[in-house]
Amino acid sequence: MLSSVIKRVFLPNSICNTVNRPEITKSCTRYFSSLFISPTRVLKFEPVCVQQIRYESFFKKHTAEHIWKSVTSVSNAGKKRGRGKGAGKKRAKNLNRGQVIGVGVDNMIWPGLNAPIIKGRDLIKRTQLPPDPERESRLIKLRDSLGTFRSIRLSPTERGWSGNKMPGRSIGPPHSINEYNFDGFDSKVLEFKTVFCMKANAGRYRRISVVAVTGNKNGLAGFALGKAADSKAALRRAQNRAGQKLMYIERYNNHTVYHDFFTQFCNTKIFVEKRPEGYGLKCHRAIQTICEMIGITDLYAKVEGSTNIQNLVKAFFLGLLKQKTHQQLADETKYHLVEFRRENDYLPVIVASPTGSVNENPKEAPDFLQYVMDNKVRLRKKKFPPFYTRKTHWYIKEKKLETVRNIDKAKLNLLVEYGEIRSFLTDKYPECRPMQKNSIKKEVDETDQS
Amino acid sequence: MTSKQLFSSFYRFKNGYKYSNKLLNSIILSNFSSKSHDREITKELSNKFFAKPVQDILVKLTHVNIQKAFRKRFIGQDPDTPIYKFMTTAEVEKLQVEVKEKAKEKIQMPPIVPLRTDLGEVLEVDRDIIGFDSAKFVFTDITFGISDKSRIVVVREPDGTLRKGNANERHTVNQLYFPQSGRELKHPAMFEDKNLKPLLENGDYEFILDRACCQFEPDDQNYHRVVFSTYQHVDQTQKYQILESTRHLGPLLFYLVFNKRPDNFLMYCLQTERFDDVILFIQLYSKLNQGMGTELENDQFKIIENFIDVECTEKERLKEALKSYINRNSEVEYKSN
Repeated sequence: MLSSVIKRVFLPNSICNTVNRPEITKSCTRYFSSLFISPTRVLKFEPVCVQQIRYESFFKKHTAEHIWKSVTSVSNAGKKRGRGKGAGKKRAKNLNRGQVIGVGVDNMIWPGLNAPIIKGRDLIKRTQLPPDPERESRLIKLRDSLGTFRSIRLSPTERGWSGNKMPGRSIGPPHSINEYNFDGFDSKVLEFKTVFCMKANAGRYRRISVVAVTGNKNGLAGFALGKAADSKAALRRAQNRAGQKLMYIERYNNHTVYHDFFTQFCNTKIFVEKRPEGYGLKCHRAIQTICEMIGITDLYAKVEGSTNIQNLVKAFFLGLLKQKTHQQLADETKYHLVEFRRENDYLPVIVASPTGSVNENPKEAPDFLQYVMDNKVRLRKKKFPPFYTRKTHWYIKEKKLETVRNIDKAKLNLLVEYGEIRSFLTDKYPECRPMQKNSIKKEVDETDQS
Repeated sequence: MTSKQLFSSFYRFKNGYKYSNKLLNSIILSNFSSKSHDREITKELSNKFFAKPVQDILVKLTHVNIQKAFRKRFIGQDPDTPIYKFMTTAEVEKLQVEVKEKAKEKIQMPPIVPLRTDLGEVLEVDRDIIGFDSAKFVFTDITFGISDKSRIVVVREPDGTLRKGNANERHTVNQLYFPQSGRELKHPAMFEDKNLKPLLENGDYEFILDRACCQFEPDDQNYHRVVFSTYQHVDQTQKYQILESTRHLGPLLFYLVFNKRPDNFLMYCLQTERFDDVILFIQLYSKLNQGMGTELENDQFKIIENFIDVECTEKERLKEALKSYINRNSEVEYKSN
C-alpha cells in the first residue's frame, strides 16, 4: 500500500530514473519521510531528457490519396446541403511537384544523379555546395499556387442574368440537322435547374432540366425544355429541340409588337405594351431574353401573378402568336385603321383598310385599345412621393441644394461665353478668378520646369 | 403712365472703368457688315409681300407636300407610342381636309418687313441730373397683354438723356421678363459671320433659318443679315431643293425677285423640268418689278425668251437650257405620239 503511494508520487520523475530504481525501492521510506520533512531534498534529482520514439505514424500508415481525401471530401449529408462547392472548396495538392530526384535540403552534387560523372577530362567528385535558402520558399510558393478553387471569369458579354449562372447565357445556334444549318441563330438559356424523380431501381434519380429559347433575331424563334443527367447534354437537348419548334412572330417595323395585348398561362398574366423605337426592353429578364432572340427591341411588359419561367415563356409566346396585324384588325372590324404619331404632329396615316366594304357608322367603331386588349385593363397604381420627402431632413437638404442646383448649367454657360469659369467680379477685378479645373496641375508643371 | 401700372425695372449695364462698352450682345453688332448690295426693304415692298396674289404665287412655288410639312423634326423630343383609331371613310376624308389646312399653317412664311426705325430715339435730355449714377437705367412696362414689339423700353443715360431702347436692349428686356422658348438671352454664336459661313457651306439652311426666326424679330438688323446671307448662299449653290415645302422658299424667291437675281433659279427650274415654276416665277417678277396689274402673253416660250433677253445677265446659258428643255420635251411628245 505504501509502496503504491510512493509510486504514484514519484512516477513522473521515476521515468527518468530507471537505472536507479533498486536503490529507490530500498530507501523508499527514507525518501518518503524526507519529502514531507524537507522538500528541498527532493529537488536534488537530476533530470534526464528522454525522447519518446514511435516506429509507426499516421502519415506512414495511409496513402497520400487517402489522407488528401480525408481533408478535402465533404460528407454525404453535407453534399446534399450544398457544402464543398464554390470558392471555399479545398483541393488536393500534388506535393511532388517541383521536387527533383537528387535535389534536396542539402545542396549536394551527386555525380551520375544530378550532375554528369565526367566533365571534360576531370572526374566530378561528390561535393556539398552551400545551402540554397530560396529552395524552400520556391516550393511553398509553387504549392500555394496549386489547389485553390477559382471560378472561371466570364467576359461581360458572355455573362447571363447573374454571375456565372447559366440562365441568360448564350449557348450558340442549334446543331445542324438534315443538312440544314441554323445560320444567324442563337440560343439562350432561360431556366437551368436540378430535378429529381424516384425510380424503381435507381431510387432518387437526379437530372438537369433546361429551358432554352432559340431565334434568328428576325422574327423566327422557338423554345423547348430538355432534361438529361448531365448538364451539357441537357443544354444541347433543349437547344436542339428549340430549333425544331420554330415559329414566325409578326413584328411591327421589325422593332416592336403590333399592338398592346394581354396574355395568360396558368397564373402568369402578362400585359405587353408597344413602344417607340429607342425605348428598349423594360420587362422581366426572361421576356427580355426571348425578345432579343426574336428581334424585338422595344417593348414594355408587366407580369402579374406567378413568374414561373416555364409558364412565363408559354404565356408570352402565346400572346405574340395571337397578335393581329393591322390588316387583320381592319378586316375584322370593317373600319379603316388610322395611325397618329406625335413626332409627325399627329398626321393621320391609314395603315390598313378593310378588304370588303367599310362600315360607315362611326358610333359602332370600337376603341382600339379596348379591342386589342380584349377589354382587360392593367391596374395602374398611383405613385405617391416617398415618405422621406415629408421629413424635416429632406426639407433641409432641399434648402441646401437650392443654391447649388444650377451650378453645372451656370458653369457650362460661362465656359461657352468666356472660355473659363469666372466670377461676376472678374470684369472689374481681373485677379478675382475662381479656382480653375486644371490650374493646380499647371502650376505644378510650371514649377517643375523652372 | 400711372394708369399703366409701370414697373420701373433697371439693371446696370456693366459700366466699369475697364470694360466701359461691353454690352450683352455687342459682339454681333460689331461684326455686322453691310457688304451686300441688296435693295432696301421699304414699307411698300413689304406690303407687296403680303398682297394676296403674290402670296398665292409664293405658296404655289413652295409646292406644299404634306408628308414633308409633317415630317419628324429633331427638336429633342423623344418619339412617342403611336395612337390608333378605327375610322369610317367619311371621318378619314374630313381629317384629310383638316390636315391640308394645318399643312398650310405649318408652312406660313416668315414675313419680310422693313427694319425698325424708332430705335434709340431721344425723348428728353435732362441736364440737371448729369452724373446721377455711373450706370444706365432701363425702364420698361411689364403689364400683361402688351406685345413685345409695342412694349415701352426706355433708357436713362448717365448724361441725362432719356432715349428709346436699341435693338439689343429691347431683346434683353423682352427675353428677361417674357422669355420665349427657343430664344436665348445672348444671341447664339452661330449667327456671327465667321461661324455662319461653315454652317452655310454644310448646307444647314433650314436649321439656320428656323433658328433665326426664333431668335430675332423680323424687323431686326441681325435677322436681315443672317437670313439674306443664307438666301444668297442657297441661290449661289442652287440648293432650292432643300427648302422646298418649307416656310423659307417663299421669302427666298421674293428676295431673289426684288433684288433682280432670277438667273440661277430659272436655270435650276429648266434643268429639273419645272416649267410651270418658270412661268410662275416670271409672273411674280413682273408683278413686283413692273406693277401688280401686269398681264403676260399667251405664248409661254416667247414670254420666257423675252424675259431672258430683258432681265437676265447670263443670257446665252439660259437660252441654251431653254432650247435643250424644248428639245427634250418635243422628243417626248414625238415618242408618245
